Parts: sequence; structure tokens; C-alpha cells
Amino acid sequence: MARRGGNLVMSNLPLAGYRVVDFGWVWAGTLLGSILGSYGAEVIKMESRRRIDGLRLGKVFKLGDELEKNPYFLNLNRNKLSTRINMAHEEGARLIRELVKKSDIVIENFTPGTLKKRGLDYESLAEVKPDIIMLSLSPMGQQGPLANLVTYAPVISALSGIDSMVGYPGENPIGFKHAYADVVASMSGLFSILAAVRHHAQTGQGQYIDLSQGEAVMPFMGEAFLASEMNNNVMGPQGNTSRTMAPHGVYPCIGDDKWVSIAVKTEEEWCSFCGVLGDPEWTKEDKFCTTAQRIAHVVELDEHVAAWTKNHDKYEITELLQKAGVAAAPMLDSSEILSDPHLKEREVFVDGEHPVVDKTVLYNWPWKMNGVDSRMQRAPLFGEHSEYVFSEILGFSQEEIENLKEQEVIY
Amino acid sequence: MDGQALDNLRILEWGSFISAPFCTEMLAQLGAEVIKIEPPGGDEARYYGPFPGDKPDPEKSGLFLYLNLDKYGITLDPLKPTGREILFKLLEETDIFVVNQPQLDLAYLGLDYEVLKKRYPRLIMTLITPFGDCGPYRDWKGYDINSCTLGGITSTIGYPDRTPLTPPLHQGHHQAGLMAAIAILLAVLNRDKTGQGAFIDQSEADVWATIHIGMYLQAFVDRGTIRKRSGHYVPQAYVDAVLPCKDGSVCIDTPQKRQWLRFMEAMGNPAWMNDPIFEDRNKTTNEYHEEADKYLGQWLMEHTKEEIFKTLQDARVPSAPVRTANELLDDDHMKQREFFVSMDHPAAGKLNSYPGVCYKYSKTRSRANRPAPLLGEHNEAIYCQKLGYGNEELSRWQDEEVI
Repeated sequence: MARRGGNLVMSNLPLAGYRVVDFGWVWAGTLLGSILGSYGAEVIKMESRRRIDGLRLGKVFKLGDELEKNPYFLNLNRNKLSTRINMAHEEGARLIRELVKKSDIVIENFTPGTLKKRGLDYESLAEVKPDIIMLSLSPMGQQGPLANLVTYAPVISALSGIDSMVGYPGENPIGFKHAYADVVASMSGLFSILAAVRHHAQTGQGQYIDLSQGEAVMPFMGEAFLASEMNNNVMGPQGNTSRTMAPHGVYPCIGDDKWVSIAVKTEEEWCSFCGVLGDPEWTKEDKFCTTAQRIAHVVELDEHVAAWTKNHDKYEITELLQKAGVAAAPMLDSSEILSDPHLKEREVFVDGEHPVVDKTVLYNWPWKMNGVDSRMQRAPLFGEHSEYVFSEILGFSQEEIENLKEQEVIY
Repeated sequence: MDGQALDNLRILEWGSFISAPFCTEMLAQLGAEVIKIEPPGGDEARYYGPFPGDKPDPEKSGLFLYLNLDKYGITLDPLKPTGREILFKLLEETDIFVVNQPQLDLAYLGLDYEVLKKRYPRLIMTLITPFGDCGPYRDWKGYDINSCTLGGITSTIGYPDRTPLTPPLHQGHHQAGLMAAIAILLAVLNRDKTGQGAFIDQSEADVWATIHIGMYLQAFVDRGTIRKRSGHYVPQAYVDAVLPCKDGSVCIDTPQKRQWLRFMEAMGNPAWMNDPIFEDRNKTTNEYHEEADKYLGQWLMEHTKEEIFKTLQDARVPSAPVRTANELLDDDHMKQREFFVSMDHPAAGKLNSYPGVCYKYSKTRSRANRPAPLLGEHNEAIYCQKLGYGNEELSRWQDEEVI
């Protein structure tokens, strides 16, 4: 195993040998690079004092101003190197083109048109590296009437259509209050790059990928579009309702804000469910005897179910129902994930070390793979690998590097 | 010439409803050959809808039609010994085997990866389940809502004093499909290099607990912050919220002071902006958001979402309407980008609202070419022409309800 700029090079990883110039910042632009790095690519984050990732500054989530400590930054920039390089400086932009010449993939999520001003758009980069693969993520794509929209993640979530279905039935929508569009767009971008890598491996061709974050959410709601075309049926806030299951909901349990989800689909599951409750009288009423009837009387049904659940612990209910073959699970919050025995055993999070932060607990990848190796390395300090990039990749001497620092090319 | 990225990959899908079909659909659109196994009665999604005129018909279910574009469809019952033999034969011609049958004991059927690996060392097997293939809850029964609560996403949606909400339209199934598709491509690139197959254990709960809610773990360990649900707004500088207007709802997000001031200016600098509740906008959100919402409502309720969209974007205020599906189908931007795909289907006819893909490649072809298969449409093509079985065997299997 060789060491490169402090980074372990593992040649057995599927993306070993690929180099990524990563302009991505904040969330949608950064998540995918951390996974490319984990599977062996050398991902170099482009940083400069002129343009510090909003997450390093803690501005986006109001979590302090320490450049190295933002918990979100620590998650999203793992497995990357960081170089300082000032793209606003003409020489900086030229050196980025030199770096691209020696790279395979470029990722960016600037406002459309930004890179063109610096001569760093796909056309310019393909001139120096014809088979480069470049991914641009933007709120609504590079072209079209909405290409230059002023947005943040919640705004994209609203535009994508998904927010119109998040909320309590019959009320105004409330929307996803989590950067759903960012995460989905980033992972869709990762998928598109991996396919482009294979296209390249088979044909030698590079290419440009124009990804719209708003569109990234739409393939996850095909049912809504087809319902609209087929029946002019506009789906509003869905709550916890189901078209095929009842009970189907999240019910209160003992404790402060503790809940359990229960879903009953088949007749057999309904009988088991009633059995666990001790076959109370209400379960025998006509209005609850079929799924269709139960859906028609869902408010009353949910009241009955909640009257039972609220006297029990969420794990206890889950166990009782699961034993009887009924689907149920406790609701966990972002602290309880850390103590759930199942998620612990599946290693959905990993402990790590970091020179500035006492202890890190970061999420693991969403899949478990047997037969494909990966690595997990901490996020880089600001400019930690500038030396490696300028001396080992670009071939500058110490003196030249000092000069570049003085000229604010390395900034 | 320009081709597709996944030409020469052969996928066998033994899937049902959403997660596995969505996974292989993503791969099919980039050129992989997907053979889909359905039980003789058909995939569950065939019975889900939406149906034209709300008349149930297993050949016209919108969900099924959308999730199975470009696939070859065969019927097969791998629970019967003959069915299993045919499955083994199919696996000889398969690179990637995608399964979501959480209710079945694959080891008992001799179909778990440890067994298959010996016979097909290059096989990439992917198992998608609600809670994963290892861990104490491995055998729990779970639908989309259950993996959403365990994975934590439900705790972040809804009002603090009301029932937490599950994301709509089976987001967990779709998410797991995308993640499995990514993992498969990593395994394919690995196999191109090493010749070795792989096993992918894709849990739906894990997706929420990692890249979504897992983002908040370090904040808890480091500073004790728990991500809670907060209704229609986000507890940051006012305003970051979804709010009703004259004909629907809009989303407005002004974390920066200058954005807030531009927003006020766009509304004509109303007198109420000087109310002391706006002095500290973090406080506004935490203590006065009901009063603040009422002030904003005075202007919002007098304007349509399109008027608000234009006024606020012109003023460079981050904002947009909460679009509904029918509005998106009609949207000029979406039309110019040719996002939606039209497809003619022999039973359901021509539909123009199949969602396409969000990545526009300059080289790779990435559009669906063929409609979803009718039930058992490719039985003869696959069993006879591809695997070399005779027509007599086909009719015998039909009688035995193997296919």
C-alpha cells in the first residue's frame, strides 16, 4: 500500500486509479464524492479562502464557525483530499485545467454559467482532456426557463412536486423539512457517474452530465404523474394513509414523543392483530371487518389503535406484533439510532478519529457489500493536501509553490 | 458509436412491487437486459394502480407500467422444484440477480448467496429487504412505513404536538432501489477488474438511518442536538417555511438578512415589518412564528403562487410554488427539458407522463424504448429461443402452474 499526500492508496478498490476534481460544496455537491473516494477514487476537493465551503463555515446550519468541526462537513467530505487553489485567479484556473488533464472525473454544483466565466466549463475542459467525465448538479438543470432560479434545498423540494403530498390529509402541505432533494440528487449523480465510468471503460469516451436536482425527486413519484394523466387525480397531502392497508399509521406509546408504526395488509394479519389486542369488541364491528371498510373509517380505527398503543412501550408493541406476524417498528429519532441494537449490529454508523474533533460518529454507506472492498478516511483539514497536489501531481518545486502562495494562486 | 453504458449486462429480477423493480428499471434505461420473473398471478404492482378510469386491470396499473419499462417479462414460480430448476438455468445467463422476497426463506429454497456463489462465482446478487439480511430484526415483517420509522425519517416530518408522518408514495422502497442500483454498479466495476461476484445486502431502514438521518448523529454526539420535527417551517432564521397563498402553497427560504429585506421590499415594505418580533429572526421562528405567518399571510393570500413565484424570483428571494404533479406535466421548463417520456402500451395505450431520468448524458443513451411487458409476454422468447426448451415443455409447465 502506497501513501499519497497522507491518503492510503488501495489498488484493490474498484475505482482505484480514477482521479476526481471536486468543486462540489455544501450537501448535494459533496455527498457523492465521499463515496467515490471510499471505493478508491482519488477525490480532490477544490478549496480557497475566497470560496470556503458553506458547511465549513457553519453558516448553512448555524453550528459554529470552526472550519474543521462542522458535523455535516465531517460526514460529507470523508475520503477526500483538500487542496487550496484559487479559481478566481487566472493562473489558478489554468492550473485547474492542468489538474483536469491528469484527472478522469469533474464534479461541480455552481450556479449554471459560473465555470464558463473561468474557462472551466465542459467545453473548455474537454479541449485539454477529451475523455473527461463531468457532472454538473444544479437546481433545475443547465438549460430551460428555470435554469437560473434562486433556490435552496427546501425550495427545490417544493418545486419537484413531492412537498405537495407531505402533510396531513385535507390540510395545507407542510413539505419535507429535510434536504431530501439534495440527498436524492447527489445519489442519482453518483449513479450517473458510475454508469459513465463504465461507458468510458467500454468505449474510451468521456461525456457531460447535466443533472437537475428538482428532476431527481420526480422518478420517486411516478404514481402521482400517472394518476394525474389517467384520471386527472391530483394527489394532495397523504398523511400516513394507505390505499391498501388499515391500520396503517404511526401511533403514540408510553414516554415523551415515543411512537410505533403498524401496518396491516392481509386478512390474516388483521386477525393476528386483533388477537394481540385480545379481540376487543370494536374489532368485530361491521365497519372494521374488511380492509375497504377499515380505510373508510380510518379516523375512528386509528383512535382505537392509539388507545391500545399509548399504554405500552414502542419496543414492547413491536415485539408483540412481530411475534404474531404483524408488521411494526419503533420510531427512532436521530439520537436513538445510536442505541438501537439492530442498527448497531448492522454498523449503520462508524466511530472515527479526527485531529481537531474529539470523537466522530458518522454514518456508514446505505448498503452492505460482501466481495467489494472500500475504505473510510476522515474529512481533510482545509488545504491539507495542497503540497501533494502542487508538488507531486503538478510537479512544482518548493520555491515555485511559495511563489504561488504569494500570488494568492494557492490561497 | 455512442452506446449505452450497461450494454452486455444481463439482469434477472425476482422482484415485486417497487424496490427491486425500480432498481432494475434504472439499469434497464441505461442498456442492461432485464428479465423480470413474475409469479403466475403477476407482480403485486399490477394490482395497485392507478388505473385508467379507476377500473382495476392488471395490464393497466400505472405503477407497474412505469416501473417495468424496457424489461422482458416471464412468469415462473421458483417455489416449485421445476420452477427452481428453470431459475438455475436462467442464472447461468445472468450477471446480476436482484431479489426482494422478504417473506421467503431463500436458504431453505437453496437460493441464498452462499449456495449460488459456488455455482456462479461471477454472480452479483442483490437482496432488498425492509430491515436487511443480518441483525436482530432480520426476520421482522415490514412495509414502507415501518422501515421509515426505524430509519428515523418519520421523526422529522409533521407538527411537534401531532402524529409524525411517513414520506408519501413509498419513498423508502424507491430509495432502496436507487441505492441498490449504485451498489450494483460498484460491484460491476469491481467484477470488470477482478472477475469476482459480490453480495449486496440492501436494507430500506439503513438508507434512512445513514445518508438521511445519519447526517445528524455527529451533531448529537458533539453538541447534543436532536433533529426534531417542526411542522411547516424549519427552526432557522425566519422565514424558512411552506405557507398557503391564494391558490395553493409556496415555499420561501430567506436565511440571509439581505434576502429577507428584498422579500419585504418585493411586498412593498409593509408597516408590520417593523414589529419588534422581527428584530431577531431566529427568535421570530422559535417564539413568534404564528404571528409572523399571519403578517406574511396578508400578502400571500392576495396573490397566486405564480404571481408570488415571479415577484420573488425577480427580487432574487429563494422561493417557489409547491407544485403538484399535474402542474409539472404542464410546465414549460419540464417540456423544454423533455423530462417526461411517452410510451405506447398494447393494453393501456399511449401515456405521456412516465417520469424520465434526471441526468442528461451527452453520450450515453438513457431513455426507455419499450413499454412494460404483458404478463408472461416473453415466455416463449426466453424459454424457447433463449434457453432452448420446447413448446411442449412450455405447455406442460403451464398446466402445472410453474409458469
